[in-house]
Amino acid sequence: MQAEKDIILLDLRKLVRRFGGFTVINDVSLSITKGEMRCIIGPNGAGKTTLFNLITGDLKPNSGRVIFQDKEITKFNPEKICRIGITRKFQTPTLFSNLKVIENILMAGYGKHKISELLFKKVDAQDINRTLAILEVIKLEEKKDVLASDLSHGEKQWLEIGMLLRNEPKLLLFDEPTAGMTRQETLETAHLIRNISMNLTTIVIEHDLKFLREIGENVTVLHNGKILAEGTFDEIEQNENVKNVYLGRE
Amino acid sequence: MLMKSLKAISLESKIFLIILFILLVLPPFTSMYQIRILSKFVLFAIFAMSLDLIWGYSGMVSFGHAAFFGLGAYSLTLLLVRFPEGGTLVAIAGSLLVPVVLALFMSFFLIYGKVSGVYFAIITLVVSLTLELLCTAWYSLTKGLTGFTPIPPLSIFYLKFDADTTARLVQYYYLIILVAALIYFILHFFTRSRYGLLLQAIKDNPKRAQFLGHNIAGAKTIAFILAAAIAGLAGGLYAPLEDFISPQLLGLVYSTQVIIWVAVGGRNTLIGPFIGTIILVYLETIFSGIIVEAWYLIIGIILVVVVLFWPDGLMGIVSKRIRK
Repeated sequence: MQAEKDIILLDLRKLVRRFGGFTVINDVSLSITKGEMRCIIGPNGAGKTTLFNLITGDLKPNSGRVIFQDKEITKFNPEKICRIGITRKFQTPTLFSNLKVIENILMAGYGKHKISELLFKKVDAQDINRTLAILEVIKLEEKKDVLASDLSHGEKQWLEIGMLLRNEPKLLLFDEPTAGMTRQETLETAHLIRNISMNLTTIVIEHDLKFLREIGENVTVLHNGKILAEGTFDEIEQNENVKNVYLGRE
Repeated sequence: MLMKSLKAISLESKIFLIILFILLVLPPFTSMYQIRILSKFVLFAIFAMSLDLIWGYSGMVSFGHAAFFGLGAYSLTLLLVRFPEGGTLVAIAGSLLVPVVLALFMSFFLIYGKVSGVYFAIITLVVSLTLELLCTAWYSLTKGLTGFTPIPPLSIFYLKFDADTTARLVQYYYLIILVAALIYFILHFFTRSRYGLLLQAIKDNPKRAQFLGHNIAGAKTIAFILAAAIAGLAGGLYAPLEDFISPQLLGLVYSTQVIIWVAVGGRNTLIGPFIGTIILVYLETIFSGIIVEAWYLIIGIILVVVVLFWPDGLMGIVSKRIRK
């Protein structure tokens, strides 16, 4: 088991991404080991979401490589990257708002199926049972037949997290999972994500320091498209550079 | 026991079965002319259901769906006339396959090329208009604006199908109803399958679907091709029934009319387009007999009223129940 912990799951090598003349990601190299939970923090415009877009194939880097499980995936399209095991949570709840809660989770479960496995096949009892198990985790069992658009903001965020779980990824990316949440919801979400990350590798972009304290794992600080510091939350909190550009503002 | 199995059938299918029953028992009470126009209504209803598969269910607005209908009609006719050795089955296969080839070609550029919204509508319209022009200009093949007539009857197992005699026409009528029933139930299972749910999901949020691993272009292409095949078959069966086809079948008039039929009947249901088509084509038959030019005005007003007050069409009012 100890050996497995050291396996590098995701390896970003010298990623560069420019928009026009502006370099948003500037020579970023980052390694995530299997089972790790990594937090990425940084001020607005530091390039955090762009980094996720590069990992998930939404954007292609100008140079550099993305390696997942020892395989180069830099040029893969988003659905292929998802199929090999990387699923992401978007910053704002990104759901099928005209579908019911249960149907949202079902669709996440079918994500890696071939279309031939979906054609003319009905939703079966096994699909439903797996979906109900997820609804229990995200505490939305009672709202399973509600349209996703009718959920509260916090519930939507949780529903999306439930969809990611049902998608059964190897690596989960969370882009500000507590954005717009109340203090109580933030704590509950931190707890949920912590539970999820027991069995999964996760990367979390987060602004909220309460959340980071709650999680307390490895932190990478991004600033102006570059990695400014890496370490545990306590180390980062003490780091002078980080204080200046980011924490100092609090 | 019977009650239980009746309950298992969706409301939508119940309505369809009632309509089917009415259509099946009608012939003894109707004239030959009425059977002929009823057959036409049902073919148009099939055509409308096929458009709804790509519009209502998959969110692709096509302004050129008649291209497939007309292509089906021309393929069947030309195969029957120029290649009679092939027989009816080859001709019917042609009315399915030629539109499918066009749909595959269009999918490659439109769906895989990520063309969406109004651009999708414009390009499909241009395809439809181009085919109409081509069909008009290529006189040696299609007889251009003169139109193709007469069209040989279909013959399956010693049975002949056209509108020449009452017996043949009644046979044709039942053949068309059989095809309509088959297509309804295929589409019914198709749209209620996991894949049907995927189409709804893609229409709702393509980005989320893609980032869950779904192949959205593939899923849309399947719907587009199936819709083209069904429209082609409806067009193919239309030709020997009318005994006349002209380039108009491929063009703007039918492409826009079918959109109106679907919009008025109700998108995202199968029964909506079916009923909407039959009602509107029936009204058209009545009104254009009285005041020819006024029909387009009337249908325009109907469309505006529906879009403003019932954006989900006639079936929108009951659609929440129907979808269950």
